[in-house]
Amino acid sequence: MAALMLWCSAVVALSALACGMSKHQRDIFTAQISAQNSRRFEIAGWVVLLLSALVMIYFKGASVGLSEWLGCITFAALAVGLLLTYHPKKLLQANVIVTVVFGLLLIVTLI
Amino acid sequence: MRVDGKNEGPRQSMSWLHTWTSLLLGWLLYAVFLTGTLSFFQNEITVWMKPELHQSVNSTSQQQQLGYALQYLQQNGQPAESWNIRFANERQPAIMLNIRKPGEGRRRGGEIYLDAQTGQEIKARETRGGGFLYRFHFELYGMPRIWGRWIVGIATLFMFVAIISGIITHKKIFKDFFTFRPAKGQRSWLDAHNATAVFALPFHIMITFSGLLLLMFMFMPWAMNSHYGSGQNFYQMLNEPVTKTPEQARLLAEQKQKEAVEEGRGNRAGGRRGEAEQVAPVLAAAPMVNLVALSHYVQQSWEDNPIASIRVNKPNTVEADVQFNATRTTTLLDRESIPSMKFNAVTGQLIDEAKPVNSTSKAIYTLVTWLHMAHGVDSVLRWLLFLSGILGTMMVASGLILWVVKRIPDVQKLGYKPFGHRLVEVLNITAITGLPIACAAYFIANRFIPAQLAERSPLEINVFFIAWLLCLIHAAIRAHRPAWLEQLALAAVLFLFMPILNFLTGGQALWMSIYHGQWMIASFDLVCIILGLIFIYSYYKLKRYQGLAVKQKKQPKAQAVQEQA
Repeated sequence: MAALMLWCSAVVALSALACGMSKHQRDIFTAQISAQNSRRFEIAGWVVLLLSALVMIYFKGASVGLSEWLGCITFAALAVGLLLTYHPKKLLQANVIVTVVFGLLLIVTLI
Repeated sequence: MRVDGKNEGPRQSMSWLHTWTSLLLGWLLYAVFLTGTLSFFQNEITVWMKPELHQSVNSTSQQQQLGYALQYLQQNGQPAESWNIRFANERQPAIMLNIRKPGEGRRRGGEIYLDAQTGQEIKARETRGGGFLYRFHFELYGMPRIWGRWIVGIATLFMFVAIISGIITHKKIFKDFFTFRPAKGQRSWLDAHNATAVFALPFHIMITFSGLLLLMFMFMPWAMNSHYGSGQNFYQMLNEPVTKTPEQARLLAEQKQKEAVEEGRGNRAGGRRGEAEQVAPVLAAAPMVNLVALSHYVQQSWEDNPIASIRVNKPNTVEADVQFNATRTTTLLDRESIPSMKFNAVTGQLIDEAKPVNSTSKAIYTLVTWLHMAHGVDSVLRWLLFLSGILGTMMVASGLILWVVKRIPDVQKLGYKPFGHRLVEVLNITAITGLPIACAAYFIANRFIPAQLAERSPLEINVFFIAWLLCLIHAAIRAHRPAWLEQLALAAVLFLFMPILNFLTGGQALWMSIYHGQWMIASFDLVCIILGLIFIYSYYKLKRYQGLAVKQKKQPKAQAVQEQA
């Protein structure tokens, strides 16, 4: 469960990073993205990644937590990479779904 | 490094290094990666290959299981030097016992299985199971163990070289992090090679580096030998317990004295251990405390970390002690981090033993080697490691294919296939699809060779290698494309057949194993189905592929790619 939540947040973070990369923006968006917004995407991506790492370290310890974190990022990157290849326009929709799944899992865990 | 003596930059020389060292060892590395990845689940593979165990459903409490185990051991396990009890858990459906008789050294095998529900003994067939794949991944087979280790070790070293030179060669991997351009021939293979390499880069570095560390006593024995006498002594010194309290010091001194006495006895008997043990005094018998109650107490203090195993030394004597070991660790940085507790089995008193101290270098060694062996990790991390291993296997495979694809234009220009090119093609097929077919043949042989047959495990292994050899012959006599298609089809059929075979030959059917929550059995069948589907997908992908249509237009682009690569 925790791993799935971690994967969800990694997908969102990596999607944001991809949105900040000029070579993918053409595929993802219909409108032009300003340099300032690109920067914002990039920062948001790194912040989410960093936060998820901190949460993992807090709950599972540095060694186990970061190992799981790296493992989840691997497969989140794979998912984002495949999505950008075959359905770049659906990246935003996918992120909405992933966020909802994350929210549901969070609620289930907290209950 | 260029024969024509032209100047080249560091990146180009790295590219040369990366291409040729990888090709030379690619097939071996593929085999190591594939069998190594399967070894993350070697327990599960062994369980699948012992279908007799599938009837044991793990639904009883550990206290109940311990009761069964002790009942069996008190009846059949005496006298003993030690008992080892492993509970049924998420990776093993039955209770597993080991009895070490007095005078026996450490040894493998001789497991006794008990049904977790009824406590009845289960006689499982004799097989190496997942252990064969595990051993193969670092010792190969059919040659002295030490040779196999050297060969795999050297390949690991080159893998490490390939990773580092690969990062430098493919300079755009981080810029192209999410980039995959499908259906573009060479470009796509390069992208796939990069993606599988970069996404799992931390895993690749960890697994290769720790692979080297695990064999370091063999590669670089000089420092250990000259300072400590031998590698064994070095490890012993490193893990020498350090006392913290007077009580611990007293215990340690006592233990050392005992060891010295035993050693002295062994020497007097001229090294013949059998005789030495006969001289050993028989310890007075003494009843043990209620171990079931003790295990209940231990479990309470460990909360959700279940007891994995219990070891009883010198059971039913005045010197009896019992050690409880937990399943998981909380940190991978300390060798002593998996919780364990030791009690005097006669009085029930906790024994506070001195433990080795940690250090930074030990912590690094423990971190990478435990990750390599998935030691003490939970199922989530185990699956992540397994999946990363699959990515690694795909990385090696895509690299090997890339070598061939990249040289197709040259071969076409030449008008005939040079021997070297043909050789690489044949060996690629033999490795990439041949090895999974050989593994499937190994699993099938396990179910078709009669369970009662003596010496049946070497037969299973023979089937593995014969199947692999047949794949080589098939790839050599068939043309390139049909050879790929036929082997992919065969692999797909074999893996999809596995769950059916399982329930036809005495295993727990997939729906039943899921119903009983026996995921160690169900996941084997499910992974086989997924592998089968992947092979079918690859088959159709290749079948539909008609080659790159426009050759003229491709030429300048291919050159550009070569310069980048």
